[in-house]
Amino acid sequence: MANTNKPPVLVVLQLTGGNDYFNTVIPYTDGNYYDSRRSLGISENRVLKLDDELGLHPAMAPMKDIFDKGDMAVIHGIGYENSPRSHFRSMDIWHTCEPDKVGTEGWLGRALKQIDPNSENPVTGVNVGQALPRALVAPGVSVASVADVSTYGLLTNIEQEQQRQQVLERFANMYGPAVGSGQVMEYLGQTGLDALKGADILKVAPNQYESSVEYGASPIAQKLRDIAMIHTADVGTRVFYTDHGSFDTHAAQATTHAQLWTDVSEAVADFWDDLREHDADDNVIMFMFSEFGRRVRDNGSGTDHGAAGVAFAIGPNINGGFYSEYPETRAEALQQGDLVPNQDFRGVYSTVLEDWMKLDAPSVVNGQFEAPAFIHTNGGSH
Amino acid sequence: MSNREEIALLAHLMRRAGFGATRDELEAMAEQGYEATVEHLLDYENQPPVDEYTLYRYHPITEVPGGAAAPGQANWLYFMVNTQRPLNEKMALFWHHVFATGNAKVDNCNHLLEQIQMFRDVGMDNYRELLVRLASNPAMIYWLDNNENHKIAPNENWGRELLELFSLGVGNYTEQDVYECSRAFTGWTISAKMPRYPYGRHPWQFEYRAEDHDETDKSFLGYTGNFNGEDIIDIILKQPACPNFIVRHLYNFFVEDEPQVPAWNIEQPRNPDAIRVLAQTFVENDYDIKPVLRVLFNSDFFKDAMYKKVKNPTEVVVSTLRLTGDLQGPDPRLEAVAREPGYMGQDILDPPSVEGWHTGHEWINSGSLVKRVNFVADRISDTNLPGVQRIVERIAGANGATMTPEEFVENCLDQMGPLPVSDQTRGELLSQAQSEGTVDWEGSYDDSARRTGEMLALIGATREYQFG
Amino acid sequence: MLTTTVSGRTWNFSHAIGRNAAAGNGFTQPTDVAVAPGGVLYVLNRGQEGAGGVQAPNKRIGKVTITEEFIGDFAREELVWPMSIAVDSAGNLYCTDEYDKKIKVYDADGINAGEWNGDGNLGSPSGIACDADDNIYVTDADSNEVKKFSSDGKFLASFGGAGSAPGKFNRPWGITIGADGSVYVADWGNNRAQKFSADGEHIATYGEETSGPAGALNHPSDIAVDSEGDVYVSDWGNKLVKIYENDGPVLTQLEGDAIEFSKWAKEVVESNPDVVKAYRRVKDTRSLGLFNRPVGIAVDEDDNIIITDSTRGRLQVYAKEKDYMDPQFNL
Repeated sequence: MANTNKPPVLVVLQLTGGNDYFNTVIPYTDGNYYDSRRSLGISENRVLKLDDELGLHPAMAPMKDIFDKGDMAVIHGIGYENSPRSHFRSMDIWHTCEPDKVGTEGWLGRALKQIDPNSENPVTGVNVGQALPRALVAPGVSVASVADVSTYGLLTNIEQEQQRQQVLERFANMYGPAVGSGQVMEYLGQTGLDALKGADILKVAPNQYESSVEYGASPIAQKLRDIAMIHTADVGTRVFYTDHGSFDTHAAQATTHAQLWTDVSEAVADFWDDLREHDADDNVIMFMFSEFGRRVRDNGSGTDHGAAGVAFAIGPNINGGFYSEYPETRAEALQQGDLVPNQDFRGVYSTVLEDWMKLDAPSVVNGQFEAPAFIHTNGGSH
Repeated sequence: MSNREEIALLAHLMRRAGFGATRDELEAMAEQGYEATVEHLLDYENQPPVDEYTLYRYHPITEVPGGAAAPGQANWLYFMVNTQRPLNEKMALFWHHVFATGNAKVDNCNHLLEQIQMFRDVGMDNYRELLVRLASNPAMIYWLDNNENHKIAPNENWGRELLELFSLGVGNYTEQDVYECSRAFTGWTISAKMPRYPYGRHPWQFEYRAEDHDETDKSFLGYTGNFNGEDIIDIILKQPACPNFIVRHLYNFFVEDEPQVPAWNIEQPRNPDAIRVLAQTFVENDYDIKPVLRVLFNSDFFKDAMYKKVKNPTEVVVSTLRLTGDLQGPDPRLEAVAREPGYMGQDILDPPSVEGWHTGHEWINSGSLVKRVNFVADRISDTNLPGVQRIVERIAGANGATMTPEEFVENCLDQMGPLPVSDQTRGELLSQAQSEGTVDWEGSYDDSARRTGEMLALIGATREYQFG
Repeated sequence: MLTTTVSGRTWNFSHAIGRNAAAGNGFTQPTDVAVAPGGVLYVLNRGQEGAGGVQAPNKRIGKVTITEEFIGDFAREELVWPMSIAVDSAGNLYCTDEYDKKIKVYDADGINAGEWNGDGNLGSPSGIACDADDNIYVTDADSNEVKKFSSDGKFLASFGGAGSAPGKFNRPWGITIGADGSVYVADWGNNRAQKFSADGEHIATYGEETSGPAGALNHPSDIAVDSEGDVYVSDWGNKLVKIYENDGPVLTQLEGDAIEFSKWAKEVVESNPDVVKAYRRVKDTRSLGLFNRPVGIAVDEDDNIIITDSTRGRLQVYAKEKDYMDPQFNL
C-alpha cells in the first residue's frame, strides 16, 4: 500500500470480445505454439521478449516498458471451470462471480456497497462509457455512467438557472423513495437521484484538469483521459470502469488484434504518464481482463472462442512479474482444443479486493479462492 | 369500454406495435375499433412504403453510408419516423434485437441496411423463410464468419449462434451439434467483391460453393444424413425448444420485460401460459409469424401489460419525434438525431455483440436517464413544433377559458399517454402547476402554452414515462 | 458497351474523371456539373450532413478540366442542401440551396459574390439554368413551378403548377435551356421530362413510353440537350441515362462504361497492392463501369455528354461522334 493517506482506487479495463491470450503473451520457444498457429503465429524475432520463454505481442511495446519497470503483473491461465465459450454468458460470470446461475449483482457493485454502504457519494463508482456494465450493478449502489465528462447534466433545456433549480427539485422529489412501488421503480428512483447528484459533482472535473499528456484519438484513449480527469479532480471515486473492443477476432485477426493492442497499450501508457504528472498514481491500480481466451489452433485467419485467458495488473503498487503458470500447450493437455484455466478469476479479484481495496473478499466473490500476491505488501511503491 | 379506456388501450397498442401515435391518430383508430386496428397493422402491405426516393434525393449518403454508422442509422431513423407501416418497421427492430448484427465488425452499413430491408420484406411472413434468408444474408455471413467456414476447416461461429441465439437457446443442443451444424453450412459464403477503392463500395452477393461444402454425413440433434443448411433449419424447427424460444423473444419485446436472454435456460418465463399459447399458434401455422402477432395483440395478457416495459432508446427517440412532429421528412439534422439512441445505450446497426442488447431496466442508468429525459424535454417543451402545438390546442380547448392547476395536470397527463402516475409524482406535478396558479387560456394563450410545454417536459422526465 | 449506335447517331464512351474522396482531386456525391468556357467543369459535391446537422466541409464545388486536371474547390461550409449549379456568360456560377431557399453566387474565381432569394419566390429551389441573356431559370420543388429571374434575383415570370397533366410538375429538379430558348425540365415526381417554349407553352414530353428500348423514366433528376437537339435525361431511379429525339421518342440508353480507372483513380489503385489483388479475384468487373445514381448531366460545346455518377464519386464523359462509320460486322 502506498505511503500516503489517499484511499486506494481501482481502474478496471475490460477487453470485450475474448482477447487471444495465445497471441498476447506468446510462448515463443514452444513448438506447439507455431504448430497450432500456422497462419497467425508471430515469429520469435518479432515477439517482445519478457523472459526466455514468453513475450508480448509486437503491438504492445508501451506495456513491455511498464513490465520492464516492474509495474505489471501478468496473470496466467485465468478463467473458471466449464467455460461456456459464449460472450454474454462468460462476461456475466466474470461480472457476477456466478458461474452456475445467472446473477444480477456485480462484484464491483458489492464492493462499492462495502466502500460506501449508504451511497453517500454517487460518484464512488464511475463507468466511463454509454452502458453500465453488470459488474457495477448492485441494489442500493449508485454508479455514475458518463459518456463524456465535459457535458453532463439534467433538463439542460431550461435556460433560466433559478427556474431550472426549482424544476430539478421537483424532479428529485418525484424520484424519491416510493415504498412498495416495486423493484424496477425503486431502481429508477435511485438512478434519477444519482444522476442529479452525480452531475453536480462531476461538473468540476473538466474545469480543473490540465495535462501535458496528449492522448491518442482512439476511443480507449479518450475514455482513460476522462478517468484521469475525474481521478485528479479528487471527487472521491474509488472504482472506475471502462472497456474497449471488440477482441472477437474470428477472422482477419492479424491486423485487427495488432490495432487493438496498439490502441490499448498506448492509451494505458499515456494514462499512467498523466497520473504520474499529477502525482496521482500512487493510490491507483489498473486491472485488465477479457471474458475468455481463444482456441489454440487458428482457423486459417482467426481464432474461435476458447477458455483460459490472461489478465494484467498495472501500477506502482504492483509487484511485477508472472503469476500462476502458463497452461500446458500439449495437444493431450487441452480441453476441447483450449488452454485449461489454472487460476480462478475470483482469486485474482480477491487479491484486488483484500490486498488493495482492503475489503472483505469472500462475500464479494462468493467463496475462498487461491489469491496470487501481486500487490506490494511492504507499504511502499518503488 | 369508455372512450378514455379505448384510447388508452389503443395508445398501448401503438406504443408496442409501432412508435406511438398522436391523439388525432388514436381517435381515428377508435372509430375502427381495437381489433380492426390490429388487422390494419398486420396488413401493412395496404399502406404505401416509405418513399425512399425522397430520402435519397435529399440525403444521398444515406443510401450508401459504407462504414460510417451515423448515415446508416439516419437511413433507418428516417424509415421509423416516416413509415405508415409501423408494425412492419417495429418487427424489423425486433429481428435486429434477435439477429443482432453489428457495424463494429461488418464495417458496412450498406449491407446492414440490406439486412434490415430483408427483415421488412419477410420479417412478418414465415420464420423458416426468414432463417434461410438470414443464413444467406451477406452481412450475417460476414458477421459470424461463415465465409471462413470451410469443408477442411469448419468455423463454428454461425453454427453456434444459429442454435444458441437465433432458434433454440442454450441447453437445447450439444457441442457436437454445434460442430455438425457448422459443417452443414460449409460453402455458404459471399463472392469476392470489388474493393471500395477508388469508387466506393460494391455489394456482396451470396454464393454457394458446392466444392467447399462438406458432403459427408452429419449427426445433428438425433438425425443423421448428408445435411445441407436448409435441412439443418428443418431439424431445428422440429425441436419444441424452437417455438418456445422465439415466442419468448416476442413476449419479451412486445409484452413484458423478461430476464436477459442468457438466463432463459435457467429462469422460467414470466407467463408460461402465454408462451404456451403463442408457441402453439406458431407451430399450428407452420411458423407463420402474423398469426402469432394477431393472437398476441388481441390477448388479455397483452392488454393487461400496459406500462410494464421499459421503453428501449429507439422507442424513446422515434415516438418523441412522431408525437411532436419533429424531423418529419428530410432534415439536415437527420444524422445528428440518429445518434441519439446510441447515446441512450442503443446504437442501432451496431449492437454490442451478437447477443444484442440487455433490455428492460438495464436500458436505464444514470447516464442514459439523463439523455432520455433531456431528449424528450428538449422537444416536448418546444411549442413551435406542430405536434406540440396540437397538444396545446387540445388542452386549451379541453374545458373552458381557465383551468385549475389540478385540471391542467390531468389534461397534460392525458395527452402524454394517458399516463397513470403515482400520488408522489402527481403531487410534484401539481406543485409545479400551482406555483404559477390558474391557467388562463383566454387571457394569455402564449404564456399558457409555455407552461404546458414545461409541464409536458416534467411529465416526460418522470419515472412512469420511462415505461411504454 | 463503349460505343452505342442508333439511328444515325453514335456515342463513344470517352473517359471518367475523379474518384471517391472527400477533398482534393475527388468528389463526394457529385450531384451536378456545369460547363464553363475553356473546357472547365464545375462539379457540385452534395457531401453528407455535418455532425451538428448543418453545413459540412465536404459539401463543396470543385473546379476541374475535362482532361482531369484539378484546379481547386470552393464554397466549403457555405452550403446546406445544394442541388444544382449553372454558369452565366460572364463565368459566374449560381448554386441552388434548397434548404436555405437561396441562390448562392460565385464569380469565375470561386469567390463568394452574394446570394439572393428571388424576392421571396424560392420555396424549394432545386434545378437551375441560364438562358442566352443571362436570365436565371429555377425549378421550385415546393410550388411545382419553373421560375424566371434576372441574374441579380428579380422575379420575372413563372409557369407550371402541381399536377400530372402536361405542363404540370411534381417536385421538378433539373432544368436546361436550349439554343432556341426552349425550356427542358426533369419532372422528377411524375417520372417524365417535359419541353416548353421560352414562355412556358408545353411542347413535348419524354419518358412516357412504358416499353421499348428504355422503358419509363424513374424519377429523372436532370436534363440536357446537344447541338443537334437530342435530349439526355438522367434516369436517376433506374441508374441510366436515356436519350430522346427532340420531339419525344426514345432513342437509346447508356448504362455507364467507366471500366477503366480515371487518372486520379489509377493513382489510388497503384499505391495499394491489396486493392490490386482484390480486383484480380473478382469474376466480373463489368459493374465497375455502371452508373450508380447518375444525377447531373451537361453537354459542352463539342457535344461531350458529361454525367455525374454520384455514388461512384466520378464523372463519366461520352463523346457524340459525327460521321461515324460502323466497322464491318464480320471483323
